[in-house]
Amino acid sequence: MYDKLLVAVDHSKVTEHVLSAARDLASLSHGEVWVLHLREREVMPRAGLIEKETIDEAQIEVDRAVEELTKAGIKAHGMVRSTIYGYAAREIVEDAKSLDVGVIIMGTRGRGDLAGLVLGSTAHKVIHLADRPVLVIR
Amino acid sequence: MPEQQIERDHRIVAGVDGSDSSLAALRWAIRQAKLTGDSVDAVIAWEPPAASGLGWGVAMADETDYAELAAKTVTEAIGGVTDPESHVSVRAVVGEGNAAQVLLDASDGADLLVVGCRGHGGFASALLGSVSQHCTHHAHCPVVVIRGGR
Repeated sequence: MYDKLLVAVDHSKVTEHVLSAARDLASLSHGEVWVLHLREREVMPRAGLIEKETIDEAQIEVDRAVEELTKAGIKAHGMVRSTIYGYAAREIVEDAKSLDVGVIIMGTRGRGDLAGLVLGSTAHKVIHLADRPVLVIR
Repeated sequence: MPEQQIERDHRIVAGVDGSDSSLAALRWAIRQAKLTGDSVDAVIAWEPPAASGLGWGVAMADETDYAELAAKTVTEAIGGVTDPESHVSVRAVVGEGNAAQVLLDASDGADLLVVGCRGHGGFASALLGSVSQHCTHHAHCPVVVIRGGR
């Protein structure tokens, strides 16, 4: 059912559940998993690009995820890239298209109702932009 | 699909309203259930139309049996997408009320909630609330939003 799966991870509390879902889906369908972490950088006047995490921190999270999936017998690949704050959703969708994955798996950061409705979230943007199923883990 | 420490009942809930995207959601749910061994609840919601009185609390008489129409829609949907060879148990569930709330209630304790998305793009999607958006906000289980009819 899913030859290829794309998992977006972001240091959030639900990452563990996101990986667990990816592991289950990939195991059931003998699929291959791509783990994507996008380092969002904010553009600040005069200060330029502000990084919220180092590339090493991002790489550690992805390596850990790939290792966990590999231990479960799943072929997994890690990807770490940088993007501008607010552009993560379209990058996730573009990766999903170029890899032609069967499903995108990601968490929502679980903000409160009002914040979620007003600000939207990466998951909601992905749902709107995607042309394939999106599994959202809360 | 594990999520926190909640007891799950090996059930996948799919939202059905007769639209192409909801049929794609039901099809996806059945394929997933075939993999996991879960059963599928195909859930449809109906609401009586708002009474449009003329300031006197008078509404037009309406003999339509909306519950029956909903039941017919979901039964036809199941018949249209179910492959008898799949051996997946699919149950029709009809609920009265707001579609998102009916789905959230039906998915309480389920492994997964699968919904379609009408695919309004651009400005419309920014303005319109949607069942799928409400479900991803409030569901107590993982939610799959089906885009593109896969």
